[in-house]
Amino acid sequence: MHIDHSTILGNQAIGGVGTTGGNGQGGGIANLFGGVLTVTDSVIALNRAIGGAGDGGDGQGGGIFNGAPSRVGTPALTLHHSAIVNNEADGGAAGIGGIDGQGVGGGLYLTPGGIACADLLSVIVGNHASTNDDVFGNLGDC
Amino acid sequence: MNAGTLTLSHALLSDNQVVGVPGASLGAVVDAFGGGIFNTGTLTVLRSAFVHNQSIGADGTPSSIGSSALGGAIMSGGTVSAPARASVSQSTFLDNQAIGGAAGIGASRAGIGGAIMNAAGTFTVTHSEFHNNQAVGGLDNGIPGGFGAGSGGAIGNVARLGDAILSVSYSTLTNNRAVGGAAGAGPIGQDGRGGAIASFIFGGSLFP
Repeated sequence: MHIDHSTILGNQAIGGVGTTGGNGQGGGIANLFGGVLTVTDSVIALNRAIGGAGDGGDGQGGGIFNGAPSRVGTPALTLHHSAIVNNEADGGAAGIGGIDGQGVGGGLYLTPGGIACADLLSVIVGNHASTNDDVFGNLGDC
Repeated sequence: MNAGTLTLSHALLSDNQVVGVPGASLGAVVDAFGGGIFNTGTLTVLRSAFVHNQSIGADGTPSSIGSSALGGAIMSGGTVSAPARASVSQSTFLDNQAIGGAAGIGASRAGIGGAIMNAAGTFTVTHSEFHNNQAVGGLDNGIPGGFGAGSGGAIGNVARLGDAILSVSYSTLTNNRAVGGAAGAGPIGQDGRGGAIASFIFGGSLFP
């Protein structure tokens, strides 16, 4: 999948409500199960990943979520000359007797084992999460 | 439904709805494909608008399995040997929804691609806008392996029937939402994936 010269702004991924809340993965974009994603000359801003309420689910990757390897392949993310700014990952609210979820990777959530890189012209700043404001996981140079 | 060659120009498709059918087994379930257009051929859309179209999966019952909802406005598929082609330019997608069916005797069902779902072939989007579309997973019932994720609030690119190749250029996607199915009678809420866009290969997880 290729995204270029585009703006992804103010979108939300929200986990379902439950005794255990679902996860919100990739407020702007989720690249999962063998997906190959290239983002060029684009802006991804003010998106939110929000865990479901209950025993709160996690919010993972306010801007982009890149998943783990699976039986159909390894997700790969490449960022060229793009801005990942002011996104947010928030854990789901605790229900009665439950605990709050975690917000992890306000800009990017890069699941271990997946592939991800960004060039020097890409900017990842001003994102927010309870854990790892801008990037969770390993982001290589490309 | 387009299985040949279709060009839409300066058109408005609004308030259309496709509804799936539950089944006694997975093989008997009919998913809801494309609230506005289900394309298996070659589709070209120019300077058009898709407003408030819905793809709605059927709810399961105590004797049936519910169905998934794929593409609130457009579903493009085809087959492995004859994949579909679609292009959209200078068009607007507003308030479209894909809503998965609630669990019955099986697991809950997915809502994928609030505006567009590409399941096989190439899909090209240029100079277009997506605003306030939603993909919502179905209500779960606690059966392990819930499929009730909401994926791709605006666009779902899910290689389900062969390669799915999506490109999005010079476009704006704002205020779209992917919402996982609520727990219902079961304990676990489902995941919401890709508020604007979700891309993956079908079958990559027990929980697609």
